[in-house]
Amino acid sequence: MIGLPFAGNGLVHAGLVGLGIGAALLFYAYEKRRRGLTDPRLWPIAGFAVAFGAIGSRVLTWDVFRQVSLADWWGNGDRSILAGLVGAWFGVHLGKRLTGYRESTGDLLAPAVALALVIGRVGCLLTELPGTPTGGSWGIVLTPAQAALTGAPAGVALHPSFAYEIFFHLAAFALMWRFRDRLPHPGDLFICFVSAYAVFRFFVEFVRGNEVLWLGMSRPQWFLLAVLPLLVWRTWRMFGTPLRREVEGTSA
Amino acid sequence: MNGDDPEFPSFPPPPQGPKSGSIGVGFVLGILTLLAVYTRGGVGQGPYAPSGRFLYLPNPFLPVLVYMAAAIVLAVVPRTARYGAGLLIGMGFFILIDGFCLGVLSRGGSPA
Repeated sequence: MIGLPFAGNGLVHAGLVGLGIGAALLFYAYEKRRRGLTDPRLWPIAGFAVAFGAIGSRVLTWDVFRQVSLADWWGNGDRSILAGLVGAWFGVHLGKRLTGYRESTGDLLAPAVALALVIGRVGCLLTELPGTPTGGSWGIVLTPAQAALTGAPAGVALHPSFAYEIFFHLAAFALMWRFRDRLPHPGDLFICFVSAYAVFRFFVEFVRGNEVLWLGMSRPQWFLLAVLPLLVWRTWRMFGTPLRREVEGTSA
Repeated sequence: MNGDDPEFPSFPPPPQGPKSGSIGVGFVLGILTLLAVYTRGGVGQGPYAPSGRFLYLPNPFLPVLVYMAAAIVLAVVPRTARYGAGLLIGMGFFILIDGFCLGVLSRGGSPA
C-alpha cells in the first residue's frame, strides 16, 4: 500500500542505475585490492563489461518483427537486465581476448553485479509497473494517475516484483561475500550467481507483468529457457566433476 | 568468465611501470565527449527521429562508433589502458543512465 512515488520518472531511475554502477565499480576496486590483484588489464576488462553491458541492454532486445529500425529501438526500445548481462559477458570475453588476460574474472565481477542490481532495481521499484495483481497485503496499490503512467490497473494491490528481486540480489551478495574464498575453482562464484538468478528470474517473471509472448510466458522467460540448459551443464560440470573423480578414486 | 580455454592466447601482464593514464580523467572526458556529441552533434535527433529503413544507421551515430573504437584501442594498449578503461566506463555509464535524459537536461528541458 505504498504506491509508486516516482512513477515514470526517468531521472530517478537513471540516478539509481548510476549509483548502482558506481557502487559496483567501487566494490570491484575493493575486491581487486583485497585479492592482491595488481594486473593493469583488470580495469580495461571492467570497462569492456560496463560498455558492452550497456550496449547489450539496448541492442539485444531489438525486436526485428516489429519492423522498427535499430536507431529507433536504441532511443525508444526496451532495455533489459538480461540482455545487459549477455552484453557484459561478451564484453569481458572480448576484453580478455584483446588484452591477453587469461585468468578468471567471474569471482571478481559477480558480487559487483549483484550489488549494482540491488541499487538499480530500487530505481525500477520506484518508477516502473510493479507487477501483476496479488491478493496479498504487501501489494503496491497505484493511484489512477500512477496507473495511467505505468499501464497498470488502479486501486488493485500489485506484486512488488522488483522488491522480490532486490531481496534476491541482497541474499546473493551476502552469500557470495560469505563464500567468496571457499569455492574450489576460479569462476565458480559467477556460475552460481548467474544460474541462480536465471532460475529466480524465470519464476518471478510470472508476477512481473511483462508482455506475454507465447504459452503464457514472457520474452525473458523464453530467453531463459533457451540458456538454462547451458547454465545447468556449467553448474553440473562445476559440482559434478570433482565428485565423479572422488567416486572413481575410491572405487579404483 | 573463466580461463580454461586452451586455445585462448595468454600474454604475460605488462610490466609495472608508471600508471597508464587515469581512469577518472578518461571517465569525465568520455561523459563530456558523449554529452557534446548527443547535444551538439545531432545524435539527440538521430535515434529518435523515425527512419523508414530497417537497418538504417543514422550518420550521427558515427561519432559514437569512432569514440568506441578509440576507447577500445586505448584500453588495449598498455601505456593508455587506464585512460581507455575510463572512456569505456564513461560510455557504459552514459548509455545506462540514459544519455537522452542528460541531453534534455542540458538543453533546459525535462526528461521524458
